[in-house]
Amino acid sequence: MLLVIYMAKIKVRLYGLIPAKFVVKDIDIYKPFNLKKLEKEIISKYGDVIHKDYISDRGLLNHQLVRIGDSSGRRLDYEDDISGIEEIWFIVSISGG
Amino acid sequence: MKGCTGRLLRVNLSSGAITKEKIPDEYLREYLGGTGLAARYLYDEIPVNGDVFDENNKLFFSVGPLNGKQFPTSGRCNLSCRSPLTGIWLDSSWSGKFGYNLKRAGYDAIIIEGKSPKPVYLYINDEQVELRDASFIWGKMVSESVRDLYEQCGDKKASCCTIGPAGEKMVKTGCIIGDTTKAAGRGGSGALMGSKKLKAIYVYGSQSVDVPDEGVWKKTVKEITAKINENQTSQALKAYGTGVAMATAPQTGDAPIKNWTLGKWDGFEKVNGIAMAKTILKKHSPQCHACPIHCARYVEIDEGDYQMKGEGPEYEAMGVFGSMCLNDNLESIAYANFLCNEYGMDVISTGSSISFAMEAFEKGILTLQDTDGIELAWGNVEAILAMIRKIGDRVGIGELLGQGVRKAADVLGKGSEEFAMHVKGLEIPMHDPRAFFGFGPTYATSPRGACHLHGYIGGFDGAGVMPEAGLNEPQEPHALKGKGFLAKIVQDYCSVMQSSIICFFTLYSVTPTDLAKALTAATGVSYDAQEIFKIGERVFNLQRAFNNRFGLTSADDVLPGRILTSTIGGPNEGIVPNFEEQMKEYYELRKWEDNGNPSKEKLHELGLDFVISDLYG
Repeated sequence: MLLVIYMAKIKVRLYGLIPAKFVVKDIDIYKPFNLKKLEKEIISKYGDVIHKDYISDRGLLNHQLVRIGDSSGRRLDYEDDISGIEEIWFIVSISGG
Repeated sequence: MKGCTGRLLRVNLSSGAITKEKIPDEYLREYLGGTGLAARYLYDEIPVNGDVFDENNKLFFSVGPLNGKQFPTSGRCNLSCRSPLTGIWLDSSWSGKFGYNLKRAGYDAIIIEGKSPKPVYLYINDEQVELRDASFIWGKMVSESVRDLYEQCGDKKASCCTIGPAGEKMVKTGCIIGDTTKAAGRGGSGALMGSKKLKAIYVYGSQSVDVPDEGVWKKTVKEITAKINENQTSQALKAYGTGVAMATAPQTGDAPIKNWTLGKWDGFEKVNGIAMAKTILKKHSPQCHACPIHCARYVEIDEGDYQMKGEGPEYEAMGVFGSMCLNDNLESIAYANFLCNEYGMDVISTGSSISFAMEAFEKGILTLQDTDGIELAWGNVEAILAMIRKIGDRVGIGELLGQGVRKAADVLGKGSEEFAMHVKGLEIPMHDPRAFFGFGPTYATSPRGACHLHGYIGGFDGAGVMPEAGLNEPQEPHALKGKGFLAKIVQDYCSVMQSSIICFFTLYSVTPTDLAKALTAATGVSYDAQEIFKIGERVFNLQRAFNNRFGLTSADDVLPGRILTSTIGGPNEGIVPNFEEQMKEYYELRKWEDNGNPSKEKLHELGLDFVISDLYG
């Protein structure tokens, strides 16, 4: 029997969630996946350095403070299908001067 | 009142008279200092009639109870006047160490009146105060002026503020620069200083400032400094400067693109604080007095066409000379910023005027004949730099653009008023109300015109809470309700901050309760959060009344139509603020009349009874 495992590589920008860090990471994740699964993967990898304000009581990212979007800037939330997306931004609002 | 010197220095440039006056104690208690004290004095002293360049327009420099010691970010100084650019209220503050020195010289404020017949500078060394000949620096760029001024005056611990050629030539977007790079940018105060032939103020102060209990004060300073240090936004600003916000602009849509039309621009990848750190950044700039944030950047460009050394571009410069002009050349943006500092010109107004001119050129309203053959095409770096020089030298098309986009559109006509992006004559900062709805009522009602600092919404819209004012949860940036409320509370709080006076970047970490505690420790007057909100509201309404007397009404509380239409593409495509409802909510909370005046009841409640007869007869 041939076992095929679908693995996706997704570029994730974590801007400001880790204090003073603006990092771009490639994350490998099994398909199918959704935003909730991706957030869990992010928290498993970086949860110890992401500021506590940005993690919700449910162990996901706190969407009140973390804004999520695709590379075009379209906002994303849990109900959106992100399976075809290659890049996702997670940002916190920082206002310049 | 402790924490203040209680003294004002009055300098009459016409007569040369210099006097030291006592400031009424109730002024200090009820308005603190900074912009609040300025409002209280200038409301009485600037007559309603007359031109902005008449000798009876005055410049008011002021500090507050938190300056002169080691309170974090307290190097700031405020200046106020009737704006040459807008004709209404202006305040603007700058960082560095001028405020620290002024307070330690023994003054809460300086009021400059009259006009000098020849270029002078004001020399302050504690009690020694003199007007001195400034002919040796008149006509020089800012950095050269500062260098020569220090050479003559000596003390490196001192500070100064000066104008450059733009202010001397009374360019209406000319500003005052603290030392060499810290701009009190907005509204044309440099032009007023130039009209008075006052080139600079040098100040050195060596006196200590009394507080009621030094131990309590030091403990308070330590606690608040720790809070600022722990804050994530402080840390981001420290790491990458204010330009860090350009990195998130593709997602928020905060930074305007192509004179506020587009919603998407690939150039953000190259034009942001992180990109700057990887390229031209050498180190953090020398910090402002007692500042734990260190947002300023020191950059060096050693080769090529844009060689410069000095303070790098802030977020606003990256916006106006970058995305607004479709220019993704970061070195050229740094150089454009450098040129503005050298001429002594407001970056936001200058860049916005150039973006406006580019659109006028694209539409054929401006031609090569108007621009002396310069191709004012989007993204043309050389055209941007040439325009800055023309504005600063007040030559060619620069003569018109240096009067701001409102005036430029009045003169050019042909529909250009549709894309002249200003409120009350002040060009709009690089924060889009379509990204953060709270900017809508904030811009529309700020006393100096479109201003992001009189209500630093960016610290709250979608990000922060202020339980002392009833904001218990972060608001969704596009929420249809609550933005009038948000604008009001943040404006009131910012008015207190600029009366205290400290940097707006502490807004993320210093709560109203913290600020009240600090003011209590500084002054010995028992303030709480509610009391300081009342002070902020008092200051804001007095500045409003100042403008009402100059004819400002609710009809002026508007945004350009372009901001109320969708961007083309980008994260906010199809999203526009429900501005009318926002303003209705705002007016109700402010208790302002339909004509835009604060109501009699509100004025009475705030102790502004002296205003009632002026507005209501």
